[in-house]
Amino acid sequence: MSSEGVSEQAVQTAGQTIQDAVRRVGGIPAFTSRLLLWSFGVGVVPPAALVAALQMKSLLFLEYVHVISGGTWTGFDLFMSVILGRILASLDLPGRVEVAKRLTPTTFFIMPSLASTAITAGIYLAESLGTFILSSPWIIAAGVVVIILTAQGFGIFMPNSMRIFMELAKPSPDRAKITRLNSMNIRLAGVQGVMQLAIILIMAHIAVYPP
Amino acid sequence: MNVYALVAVALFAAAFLGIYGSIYLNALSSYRKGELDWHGIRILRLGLYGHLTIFAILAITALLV
Repeated sequence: MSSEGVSEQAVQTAGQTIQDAVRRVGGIPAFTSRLLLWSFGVGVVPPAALVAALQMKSLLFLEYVHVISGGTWTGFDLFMSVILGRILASLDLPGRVEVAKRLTPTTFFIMPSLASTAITAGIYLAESLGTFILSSPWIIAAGVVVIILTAQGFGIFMPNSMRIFMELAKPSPDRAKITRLNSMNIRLAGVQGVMQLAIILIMAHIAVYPP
Repeated sequence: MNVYALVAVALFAAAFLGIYGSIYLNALSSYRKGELDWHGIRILRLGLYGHLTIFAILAITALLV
């Protein structure tokens, strides 16, 4: 009776493995779509909150959306470079590839959504407070940092993530390439984190000494 | 309506589409050569639709101020 139970369990496990293998069409793992959908669900929240803040015409809510999206964006970047970067450095190549397979779809929508919401909410907030004066050196400095962050996001972050997806979709993915692209994104997150610390200093200056 | 905000979102979307589109076309070319699986193209399409949705929501904000 016991051996029958074990064999049933073995059959179920084998069946599950076959189902997983069937779901893994090509190189793209089955969980990629789920993680991408999760990322989209979370990524829609910041711009939707911004719409709600503007619809309610609440300066407090607008300020909250700007600070929470900007702060979360900065926190993510610092976490990725300071903590996750160290963890990845301690992993072997297959381990790094497994992290990259999960990290890329999970951050695919969340990071650009937080970034674009923080920037857009910041402009609306500055307009509302009367501090959006384009001749002010502090506003110009904030604009320059935002342009650099956006160029890095569109020019390096996103293309690298897309190339990781493309590599995963190949019959025999180049693991070293996936790891290299992911490491580049992690290092870039560190650069972005430092730039965001600079922009927070600029924001603090604008808040205390309005132009 | 904030015209500058709408133009800014449109410019961001155009820059995004330019970069995303060029990589997507490369992926499509690789798929036609048999180097890439269809699911890779599907994932990239889902990524495109998702980003466009986020841009569309941000564009709505320009109509609210």
